[in-house]
Amino acid sequence: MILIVSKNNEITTTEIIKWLLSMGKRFVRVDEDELFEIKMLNGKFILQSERNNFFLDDITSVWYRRGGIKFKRFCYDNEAINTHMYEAQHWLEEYVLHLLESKKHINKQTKAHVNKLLVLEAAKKVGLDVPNYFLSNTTQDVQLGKTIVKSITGNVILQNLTENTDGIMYTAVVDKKISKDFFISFFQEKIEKDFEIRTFYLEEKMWSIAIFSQNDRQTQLDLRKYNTENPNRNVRYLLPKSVEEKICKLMKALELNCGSIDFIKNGDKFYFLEVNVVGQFLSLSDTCNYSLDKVIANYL
Amino acid sequence: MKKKINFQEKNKLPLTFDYLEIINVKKNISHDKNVIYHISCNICSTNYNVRREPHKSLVRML
Repeated sequence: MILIVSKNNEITTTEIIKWLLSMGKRFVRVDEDELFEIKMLNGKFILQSERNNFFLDDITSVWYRRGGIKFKRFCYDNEAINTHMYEAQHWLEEYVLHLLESKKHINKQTKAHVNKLLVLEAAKKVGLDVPNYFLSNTTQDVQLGKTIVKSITGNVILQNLTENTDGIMYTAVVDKKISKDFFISFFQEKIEKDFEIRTFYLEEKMWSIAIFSQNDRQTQLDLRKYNTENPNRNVRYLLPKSVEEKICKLMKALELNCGSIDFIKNGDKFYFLEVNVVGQFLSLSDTCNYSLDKVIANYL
Repeated sequence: MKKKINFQEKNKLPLTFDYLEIINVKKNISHDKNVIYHISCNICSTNYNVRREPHKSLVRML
């Protein structure tokens, strides 16, 4: 049986479940609102929530998509006992997650969140071209018009920032010096692009798409500013073998076996931008006819 | 829609906040109340199964 760790409102998960159903594969889907109790029955671990219950031994593969398995923790009246039992429960939970992650899997809950800064360092180590970057709390060393600023967080959307508004932190070119200092921010050399590449990686196999976002003023700096009226042209793309080999090395160094990787193509260089572990890939799949949903369902 | 918000935070924020784009959420929601965009689906274990094809009205089916 396949364990899918996801969120209730997650369209990619549902699409892959449709493939699993057509392939006759059994699965259990765990969402963000479930709390599991770790129990034992006849010497076997069983995870039980209000909606699901399954033996760990019955799980043959795990797809970590989003969210995470959360556990119910017991509280105890005596403070000393409570502290002791808090730790005991922590190690038990960690062991259960370890047991799940040692099965055949696509990504791991414990490795789901990558530090963008460490990823860039790892990318340089494996020999990928990375645009020059630095952290600073002033604009003193910033070359106006030639430097971008972007968030180091995974999520760039600030929901309910004010009443009825959300905020989105797109990549932006720094166009003015600031006299005051600010919270340490991430700056990177702006690379003129021929086009962008997004590569979906699964266990040493890669599927790439070239996104011609540079001809549209709306998307030339950040393709996530989608132009729905006149969408970017997207075509299948094959990365050079040498770049693919470096991607494999990088993903192994990061202990990831699945993710979406972004590049900028400039001349004969492929500039690595970032790895998105839980990114959307169905759009890429549909546009290029890659059937990645079927690929994932097959793999599990 | 791009508009600037003066954040009243006592601690410093990254420069990315100077370039933050604000989206008026309420304005973007133009859902037709007569259309169901998501349906619950026990088989897929979700309350958000996207309804891809709109219902054909009975008149058209006749």
